[in-house]
Amino acid sequence: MTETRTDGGRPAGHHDRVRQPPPLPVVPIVLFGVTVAALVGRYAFELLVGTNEAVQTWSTVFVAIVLQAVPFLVLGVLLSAAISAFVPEGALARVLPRRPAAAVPVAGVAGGVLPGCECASVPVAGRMVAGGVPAPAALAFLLSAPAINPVVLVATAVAFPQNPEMVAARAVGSLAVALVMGWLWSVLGRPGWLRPPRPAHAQGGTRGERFRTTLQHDFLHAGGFLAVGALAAATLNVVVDPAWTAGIGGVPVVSVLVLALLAVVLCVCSEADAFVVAGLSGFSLTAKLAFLVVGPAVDLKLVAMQAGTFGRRFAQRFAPATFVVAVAVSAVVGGILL
Amino acid sequence: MNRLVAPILLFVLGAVAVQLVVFGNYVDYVRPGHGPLLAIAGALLMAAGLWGVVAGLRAASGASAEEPASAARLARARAHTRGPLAADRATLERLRAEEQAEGHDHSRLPGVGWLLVLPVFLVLLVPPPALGAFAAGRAGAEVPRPAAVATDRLAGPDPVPVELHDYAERAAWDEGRTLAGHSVVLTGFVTPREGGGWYLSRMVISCCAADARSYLVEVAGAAAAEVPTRNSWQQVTGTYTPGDGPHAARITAQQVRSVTAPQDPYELP
Repeated sequence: MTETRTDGGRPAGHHDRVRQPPPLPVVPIVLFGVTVAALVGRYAFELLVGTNEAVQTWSTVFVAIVLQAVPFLVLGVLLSAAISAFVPEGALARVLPRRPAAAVPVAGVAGGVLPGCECASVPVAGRMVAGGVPAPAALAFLLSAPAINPVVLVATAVAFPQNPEMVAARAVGSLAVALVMGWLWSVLGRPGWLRPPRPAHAQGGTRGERFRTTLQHDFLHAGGFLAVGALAAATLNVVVDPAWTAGIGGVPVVSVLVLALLAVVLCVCSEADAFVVAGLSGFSLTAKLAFLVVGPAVDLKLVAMQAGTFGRRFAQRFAPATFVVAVAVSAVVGGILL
Repeated sequence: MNRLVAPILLFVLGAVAVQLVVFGNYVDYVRPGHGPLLAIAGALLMAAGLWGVVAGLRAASGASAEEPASAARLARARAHTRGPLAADRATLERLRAEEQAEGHDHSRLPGVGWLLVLPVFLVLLVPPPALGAFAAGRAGAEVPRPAAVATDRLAGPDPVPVELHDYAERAAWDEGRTLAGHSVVLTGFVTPREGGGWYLSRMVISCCAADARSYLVEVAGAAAAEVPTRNSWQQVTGTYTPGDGPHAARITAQQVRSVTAPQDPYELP
């Protein structure tokens, strides 16, 4: 609560204390922390991680997911910081058509130019909303960018040398999911569900300063939630029996659902998911398409990052809806194209 | 998260990424092709971190009154002591919005970022090893179905070095047609087999260790009677023998030799 009432009874010196908050001795604290970590940390961690192979596997997978995502996260955060620092407020929104019905497909197709995976698109979409882009258009961008960019489509073509139609099916399917979700949000979405990131413009300061603070903020934010997702994915990777998909491949509807769920759990980067699913034996092409369409739209790390960027109330509604739409779209597109 | 701690964390994370690439350990986690990307991203993070530390130190050493957050605090103090009219309304509104924005204020950095300390500590203090027998043994001995089995003849004079997953695929999904009549050399780590015996095994990654698939080749023959140490790296020279069970791979060893772990523990598809 901000206290704005007059309050004459304050002790003298209060004013000065507020003006000059005692600076935290950050550097000594950090040095102390590093020293303690170096002295004790190794033994503490060895006790925890030790030679237990399950724990070691868990930490390998966790570190791998973070390292694999970091370059794409940096790319996305550089873009989001550039948007907040150099693109005038409202400029992105003015480029898009006024009506959401038309803005959604434009933003969805524009997603095809961001050569990254889903980690890059979350901070960018967050800055788009903060910069005044209507939420449905930003969400269409969020869903289409990791799925239909050239890098991902080429990777898909390489992974499916026998089935070039997979590339078309993936592009069509993912774009359809992005558009459907954008339109759905513009019809059904309530303003209170989505908590937009605060625009950096309100911060004042020079452009360089805005760039730096946004970069720092968005990286720690998206990176932190990436770590949350990586923790969950690594845990499932070690806990869930990898044989659970065996024997389901032949059952038509169930196999689609199973690969869609696998995509949510595995959190494979969209630039690699085609290689992963191509190696799964016994599944129909439609089921594999569901894996490719669901993965870049809904997976554990992505849901965690969305919840962090747009609020938990948003992710609670958006992620399940996207999952349902993505599975349905995959079934339809797979039925027609594959 | 504090204004100075945040850039330090960025710097350290970037430094860890660069260090992993420089010393080559990154291949335990991601595919080799990822190295340059990781190095560039790490260098950028280090630069951003340094920039943040410098800016933070400059702000701390006197210029802080011009910082927006301090301006807001100052305005609040003025309103506090002299009444609401002493500070301009917009500043106060912004201050209130900042306080209600649950950490969405850029000067108060997101606490969830602290989780990034975890990979840094893991890599620096107890570097997780490349995936081994635990991961390899989980999926069972059935060789994953390849998109297309290689049918080209093995290159070179016998004994031919063959990638373990290539051997497993040719053996399990092509009945060893292109392997028969050759003496091959396989390199992998030891995964003990339930009920006796052992597998020579290797993980294949497309992107990172999270998408690893395991390939196991049962090692048979008198030369392999003694089970080597779990997770130790071995080189097996032998000939193709049909595996037991559908899509299982096996080799009859003429020679088993202990070797050092290869620089790149994973094979690429």
